[in-house]
Amino acid sequence: MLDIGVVIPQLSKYGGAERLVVECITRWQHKHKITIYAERFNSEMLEEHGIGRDVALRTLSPQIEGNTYSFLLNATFTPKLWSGEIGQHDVYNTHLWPLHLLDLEPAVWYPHEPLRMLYDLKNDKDLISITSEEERRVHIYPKYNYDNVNKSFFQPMLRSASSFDKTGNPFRIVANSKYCASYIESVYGRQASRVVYPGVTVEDFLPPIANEYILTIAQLWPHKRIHLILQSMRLMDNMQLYIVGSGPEKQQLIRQAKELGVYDRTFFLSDLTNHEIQIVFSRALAVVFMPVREPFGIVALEAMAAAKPLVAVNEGGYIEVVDDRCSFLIPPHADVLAEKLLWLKQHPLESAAMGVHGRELAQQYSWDRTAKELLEELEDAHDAWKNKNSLQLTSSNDGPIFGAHYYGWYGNGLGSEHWNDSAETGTVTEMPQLGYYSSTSGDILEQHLHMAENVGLDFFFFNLHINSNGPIQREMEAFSLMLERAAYLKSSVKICLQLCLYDCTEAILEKIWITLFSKVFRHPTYQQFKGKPLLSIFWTGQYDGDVAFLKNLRKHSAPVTLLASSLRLYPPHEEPALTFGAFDGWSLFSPLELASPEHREKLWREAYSHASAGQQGIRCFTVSPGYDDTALVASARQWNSHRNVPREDGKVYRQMWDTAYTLPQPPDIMIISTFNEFHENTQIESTVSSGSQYLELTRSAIKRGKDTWKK
Amino acid sequence: MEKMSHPTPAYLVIDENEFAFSDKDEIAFRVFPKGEALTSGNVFIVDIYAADDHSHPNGHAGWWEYPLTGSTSVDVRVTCTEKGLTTFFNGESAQTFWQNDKFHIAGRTLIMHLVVREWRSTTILFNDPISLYPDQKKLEASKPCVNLGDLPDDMPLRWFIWPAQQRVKIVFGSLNSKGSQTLCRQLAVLLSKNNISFKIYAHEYSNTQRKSVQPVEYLCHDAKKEDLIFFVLAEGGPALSIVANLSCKKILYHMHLPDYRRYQAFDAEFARKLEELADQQHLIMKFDGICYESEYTKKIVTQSLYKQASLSLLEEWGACQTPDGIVTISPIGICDKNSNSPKCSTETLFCTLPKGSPEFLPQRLALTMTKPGIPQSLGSFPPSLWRKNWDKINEEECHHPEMFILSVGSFRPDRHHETTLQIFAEVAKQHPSLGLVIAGWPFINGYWDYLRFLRENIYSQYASRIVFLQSCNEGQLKYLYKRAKLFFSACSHEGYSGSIIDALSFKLPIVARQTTSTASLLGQSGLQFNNSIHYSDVAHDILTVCQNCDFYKSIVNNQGGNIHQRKFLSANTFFDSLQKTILHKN
Repeated sequence: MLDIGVVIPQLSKYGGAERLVVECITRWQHKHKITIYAERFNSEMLEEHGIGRDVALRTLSPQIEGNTYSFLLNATFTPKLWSGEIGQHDVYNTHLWPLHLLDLEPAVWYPHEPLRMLYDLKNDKDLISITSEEERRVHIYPKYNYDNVNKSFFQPMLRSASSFDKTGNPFRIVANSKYCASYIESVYGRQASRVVYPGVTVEDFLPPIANEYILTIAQLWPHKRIHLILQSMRLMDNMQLYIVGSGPEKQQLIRQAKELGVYDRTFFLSDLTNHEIQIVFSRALAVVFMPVREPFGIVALEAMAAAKPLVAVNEGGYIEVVDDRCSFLIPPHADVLAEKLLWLKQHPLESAAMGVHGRELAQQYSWDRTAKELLEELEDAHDAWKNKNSLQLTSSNDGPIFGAHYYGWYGNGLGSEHWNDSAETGTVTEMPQLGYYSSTSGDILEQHLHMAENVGLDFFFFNLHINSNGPIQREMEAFSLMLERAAYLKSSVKICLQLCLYDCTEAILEKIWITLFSKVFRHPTYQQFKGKPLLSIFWTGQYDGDVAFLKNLRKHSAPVTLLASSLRLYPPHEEPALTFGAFDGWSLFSPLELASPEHREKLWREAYSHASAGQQGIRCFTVSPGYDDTALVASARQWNSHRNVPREDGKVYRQMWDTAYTLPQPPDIMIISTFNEFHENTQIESTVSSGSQYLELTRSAIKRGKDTWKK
Repeated sequence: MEKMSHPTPAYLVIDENEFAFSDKDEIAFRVFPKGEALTSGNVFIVDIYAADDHSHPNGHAGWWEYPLTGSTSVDVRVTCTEKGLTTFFNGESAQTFWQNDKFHIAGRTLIMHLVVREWRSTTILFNDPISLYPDQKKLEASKPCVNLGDLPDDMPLRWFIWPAQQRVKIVFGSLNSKGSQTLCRQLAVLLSKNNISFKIYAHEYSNTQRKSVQPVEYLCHDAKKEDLIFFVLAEGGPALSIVANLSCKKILYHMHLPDYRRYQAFDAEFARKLEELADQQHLIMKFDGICYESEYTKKIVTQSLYKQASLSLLEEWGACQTPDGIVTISPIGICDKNSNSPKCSTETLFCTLPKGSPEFLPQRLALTMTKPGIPQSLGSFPPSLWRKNWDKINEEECHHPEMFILSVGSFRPDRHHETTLQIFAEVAKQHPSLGLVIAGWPFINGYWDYLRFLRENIYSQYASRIVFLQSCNEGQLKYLYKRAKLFFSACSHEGYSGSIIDALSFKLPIVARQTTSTASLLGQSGLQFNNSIHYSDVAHDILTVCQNCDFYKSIVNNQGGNIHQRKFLSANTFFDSLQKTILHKN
């Protein structure tokens, strides 16, 4: 089962794009987990199509409305805003323009059509920007209205949107016709990975009931060429025209119909139910479809399914699915259109035969087929993307993985958070070479990532402290930023979380789990272990024996590899009664604090031999360069008899690594405690007093470890 | 003659309502173009069909066109020769015409449409269908023999003096439906029996109705200031606009209007007329009073009129609406504007401030409350002035299955006969012989076609058990009501349901969709279903009624209390509305 995120600007009306999404989801929902993102939903429409409650609906911020820059903002800013609102999924299926600009991976973009006013319609001012003195009008589907743009802004805005348009880089693109595929290639210079035609459910359409009027179905925009159909009406007496659709051109078209003297025979229909649309089809003489280079044009398929002859302009995507036995493909000329329609009226038998053939042909283009082909593409994209990423993991996972505890709690400058802000918990005695930095500085985080990459670290355990108010905000921001910067740098260093729970309520934990699963664990730079996201819990022993807490923890963490980073030892025979098998693996957080120098190594080895305390028996070994929290005056620390373990110029650190090399079995995870915990002086980060000595030590230790433990 | 301050529509006046060909096989008459027919360069067309076949080309005798460029009268002569019909205008042959050489005229009654059309399009501005009889004998034979069979024995009488010079003009938009025809006939009988002078006008009517009905456009020259219009609003069209702009007193009878959207798929033209009514609501404000089909209709329409009036008032006051929906009004001058505005009524309350109030405030304050003005309500009554007197109607045999469910209603979408078929199919699956009769009257052709399609295709296995009776007369209805096992209605229309009253009269168990209308007639009795109930459950109830005698009797007994004896309520309310408008306001 895949977790698929489907994104479409709106899912409230029943246009071609929306229909495709609804029809596909109707068929996917029983096989995969589906979440739909849109700024607006029509729940009745979804219900009518049998989209069940298992499909999650998530509302996005509305598009920008009502100012001069609406168009430009919606073409650039809105997709970026939405990117942050969309959760993590295995694969994304994004629909319509400009959702190729979403920063989601891996995304399969089904554009339906590029923004045509930027490309093939840009030179036809009548079609896309009916001019007034001071304003031009622009439109982005699926909005029903135009955005008014100041005349002098019009071209610069189009150029800006066009430039930005090229920055989109979805993992794959699926076109709705060969014509559209070539159009996409001409615009974006990328080949569509596949053509998936929209479909139709022939059985839903009533057989012909009558041959009363000409039918056209289209949203009322200039490029749908409804005016041409109206002009042809003037050449046909006693014919009625039914136009099904809404749009901003309606009043203009009514005016034209009146001018042409055909208004009494021309009817604009809207707000029809699906069944009523089928009735309208069944009573029609023929279906007319005259849009300018429609990328696909689902109406053609519907006309065929309804067994009605199609008279359509010979351009666009739908001509790939019709043939001359069910349709007249004509140039966009009113007289030719009128001639063909009159012929159909005068030849009812031939007309019926065309309908019968169309219905047979339409059977090939079912929604089942569309849904199946698009799903195949999504599954394939997911597999390809996963393989690509797992290759990276495999290469770094050749032997143990090396991580370091990381702290993102520092404020900006001495005296701010965690830089000597509190005698009890904030005292520091060393100054980093980067200065008293801010953990929410992207530049600092990038430098830390570079340092980690240079020494050969595979990942950071990012320590996130959570209290009764939830996660510490600064740490949360720093963590998000680090994920983002790591992705931006394409860093080989991954990130995973270590949760440090203090007075954390159940409700807060529930929220955190939702965030982790929707946004964090599937992030491309999040550290995975054995195919699952790696998560560590800082284990003080506070929750030992708390059945409810631990069972809840186990329940939520089933899809992850859960480590305990413990302040205490974890004899396997005691853990079932203390932690009820909640963890997959155990590690020591601060091994230097646990024993006097003469007993340390024995204790580390003993702890290492207790790997079976974890459900998966993951072998973890933790090394530290030293420990000294004597500058902290917190009373809770006073009892610790090993609170000052001097580094001895790297000797302690080297001793720990040497122990690791001689372990009876190679570790699965080597953990450095820590990268930048300055209060306890366990940091390996470069400092003013010791320079990069401990980074260098780490680099050579990891290199040796990789050589030693290479599988 | 009244002077019209609004542009008058294009129309033709003709003094005759019907014609017969003379011994010379010709008819001659004069028409008088009126209103915009005179000024806009339209064309006048004589378009003739057979009365028994209105199709083109088989039943089409031909058409003859004459340009109306300033002609105040046109002499028309239609001649019948061996070659067919020909029409002459002012003694000359038509320049533009189409004549059907294959049309057989011998002995046939014809319909002559007198049409005004825009010169450059096919838009018909005026259409007056008039019968042409082959000879005088046929004309005489066609004189209506009014069937007063359902008249009540004790006709309701007015209790007030009617001014002799006062004439009532009964106006319909369309007289095509069975309901409007019944109401029209009852109004005519009631006024006639009470010695109140009246005339009937309509925009849409048939050539047979033309004998007693005049085109609504005639009101433009026919309506006098002292006349009283009773206008029945049941759908859109030009009639409302014509009537609203007359300066005589006017009563609007507001029928319950269906949702136009549900008519689009079956008859877009009809749907358009309904839709256009929404834009004509300001015209309703011009009436002196409104009668409503039901209290529910009154509630819906009144709300809508208040909204319209409020918006109009706010516009007059120059009110502004902020983006968050708050309306701000500058108070300066509002009272002055109110005092003379017909758009609102005001009420002023005075209060004295308590001692200790700030000195800068006056001791007494006046609070003026303004309420938008809408035409007064003259009561609610169903569009049937009295219940049918079934005892006086003779049964007329018609085809039906041996045991059957009966449903009665015009063939229009809000009657939901397709639901009736769907539920019947569920019933028929479980009952081997029970049939269904849907008796109705033509209304929306597209919907009629759709129902026949459903019977022949979707429910073909039960088609032999499903009977559609179009244009059922009252004798046939009586025959069916007396023999039906059960009455069923899926109608969602919130207007008056005469067929449920009839079913109650015949003591039939009733299964009906729950609406405000059915609930008002049935109370808690019968079996009423709503949209949340699955059709198979409704089918199960129907089968239970048909197969379980005790259940059948209990349903009928419970319904018994709902046959009200208020048989003249509508007539009396109608008289009330006339009295209030004419006498009290005079």
